Amino acid sequence: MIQISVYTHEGMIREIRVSGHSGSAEKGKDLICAGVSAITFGLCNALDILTDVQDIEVNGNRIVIRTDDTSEKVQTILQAGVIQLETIQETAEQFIQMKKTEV
Amino acid sequence: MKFTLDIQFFASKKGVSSTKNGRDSAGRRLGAKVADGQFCTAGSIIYRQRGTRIYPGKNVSKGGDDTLFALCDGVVKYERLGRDKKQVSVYPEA
Repeated sequence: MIQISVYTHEGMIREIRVSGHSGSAEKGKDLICAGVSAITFGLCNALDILTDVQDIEVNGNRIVIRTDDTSEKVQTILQAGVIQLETIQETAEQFIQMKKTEV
Repeated sequence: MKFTLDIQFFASKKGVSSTKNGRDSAGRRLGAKVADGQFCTAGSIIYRQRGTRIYPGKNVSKGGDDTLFALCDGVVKYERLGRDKKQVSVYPEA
């Protein structure tokens, strides 16, 4: 099960955490994992290239993005990433769990 | 790009390779066929074994596959043979 946690403060996204194993198929054939990986890595590169967000951690099978930047540009990119992850999660609920928390 | 895509980043453990094991022969149903103190008839099998876990005693003989069988009607007795061996005998009823 892949866990996706989105932490917001006053409606602004402050942290996105994606971790776990999809388990929908063995490594190399796991389509669910491929979708989530592509979106998450794409989000990391988009933030890295288009914004000043630097706190992006990629290791093991965990990706954590943290930011205090509440600018429209950064928040739009983060929201877009969350929407894309939600799109997959809707059709793969048994393999992806998403949780939104206002902190 | 700073972050190189690993398309299977969230996949579970590595591809499971197939195993060459997983075969076994059917059980040979070895062991005692007549219990201690039971009556048996001549020629009946008393104990199936591989090798001589139990030795033939009185009125008992050993077949080619080490099977022990009775040479006469009587009561089966499992006995000690020396320090660390066992034997089985058949005692005709008086």
